[in-house]
Amino acid sequence: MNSIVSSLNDITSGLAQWRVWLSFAMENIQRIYHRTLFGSLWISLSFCLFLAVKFIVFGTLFNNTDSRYSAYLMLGFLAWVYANQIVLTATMVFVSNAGWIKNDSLPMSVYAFESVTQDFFSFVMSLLAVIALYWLTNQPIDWHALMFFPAVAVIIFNAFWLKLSLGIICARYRDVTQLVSAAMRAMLFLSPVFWMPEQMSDRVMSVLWWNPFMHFIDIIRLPILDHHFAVDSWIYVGGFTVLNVAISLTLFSVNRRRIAFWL
Amino acid sequence: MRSGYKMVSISASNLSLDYPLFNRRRKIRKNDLATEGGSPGQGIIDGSFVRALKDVSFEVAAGERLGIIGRNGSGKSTLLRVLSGVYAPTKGSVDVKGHVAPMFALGLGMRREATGRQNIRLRGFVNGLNAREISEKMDEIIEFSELGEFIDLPVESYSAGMAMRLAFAIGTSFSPEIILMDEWIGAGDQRFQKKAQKRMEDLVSQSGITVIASHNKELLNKVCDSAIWLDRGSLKAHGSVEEVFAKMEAGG
Repeated sequence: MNSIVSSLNDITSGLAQWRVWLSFAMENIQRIYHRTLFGSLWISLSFCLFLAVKFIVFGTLFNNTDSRYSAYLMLGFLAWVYANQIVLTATMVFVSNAGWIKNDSLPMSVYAFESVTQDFFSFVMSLLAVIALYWLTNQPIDWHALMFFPAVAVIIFNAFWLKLSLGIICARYRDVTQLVSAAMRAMLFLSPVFWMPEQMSDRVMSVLWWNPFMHFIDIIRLPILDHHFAVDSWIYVGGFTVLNVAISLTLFSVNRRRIAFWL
Repeated sequence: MRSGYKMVSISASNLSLDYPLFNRRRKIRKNDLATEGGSPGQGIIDGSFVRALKDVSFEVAAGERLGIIGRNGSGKSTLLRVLSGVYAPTKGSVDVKGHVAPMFALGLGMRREATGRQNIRLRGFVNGLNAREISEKMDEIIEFSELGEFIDLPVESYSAGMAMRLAFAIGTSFSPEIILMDEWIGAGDQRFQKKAQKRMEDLVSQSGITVIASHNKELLNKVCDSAIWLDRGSLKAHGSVEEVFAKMEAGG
């Protein structure tokens, strides 16, 4: 109980250190695009490039190059790229900050906030590309699209907790980092990004339904694409969030003071 | 931030710390070792842990300058990290009152790819300052570091001496009350060392505390007024620098 209180303290004091994690995140982004001409616009550019290639290959493959498929792919890929980055960077949250953790006794949550901020920045850059493409291709949209905002909020919330738990696990068991990156490559094809659930058999879909990425993609995509609320997916996401917080808070409370020894 | 009311102090009582070992092919069992401990000076290996500190108690009052001596692997750096709050003690307790400035290995708490100026900003934020407070200190830090135009180049392009000067200038500039320093003050030229020593003395005279881990007897004699000797994680002596060195050289 005591350790849960002190880890919640860690999170609130970490949040209060916003200057630290904001400048850490901005500095990371600057470093990645240092001395490039387009800078962080490369995130948008590479997003568009991948999208175009995927549209040509998979659209042709599925004999489906209508404008709904392009919107489907665009939104699905936007959500996927974001979710993928959240998971992959979560594995490095503490490991990549070893030089600070072994020197300064900052709240551990600072590094999770840093990572969440950095991912969100990339997401906004891809989002700008999607908004431009959506507008250029004249896709229909209605007020259901407002559900986009709570969907992004719930993704950010889950991302924060995942950073703590996956960051801890990967600091302790380095093989998990490799396992996660291999698994995420497979997850892309197990998630409805290129293919549509209608194209799959019911039996396959009854298994794939448990894939959390499917629902995080759908709460972003369905309201904009098909103008409905994706109620099933929201229920799934709600349950997932409760589990995520419970597991991550427990792992964080038990291991927070051990992280420095593992680096 | 410095507060006139708070007494700066360090107090460690029965402090023990087990450092977990990883990626060992085989856990070393107690009876695999002919004597306690691995090589001389090393902490005691017990299963999958190194007992890096064992039942260490001492106190440091405001205005004191404490040296930590001992062979490589005797627990000096570990003790400094416990005092800074990086490592939580396994047993016992440590109570540190005052704003701590850690100066451990070079490169820790810095970003090599970022410029000196960016690092000053980052460390300012870490020390709880806002952008305005940092820019007020910026020129003074740059001047003390003697980096000149290098301040706008990445730290990875610095020589060891330059990086040391920057780290020291930053570490001592955000109103630290307790300076924890691991060895490297020996880097840098004579002139800068004098300047650094002067600054530390000023700091301690304002009721601060300095703790320095070092092998350098001459340096500790100049900088510290007392010392502790750590041997395989245990505190073997506490007294004046001369006294403690004499005990260590006699082998306890």
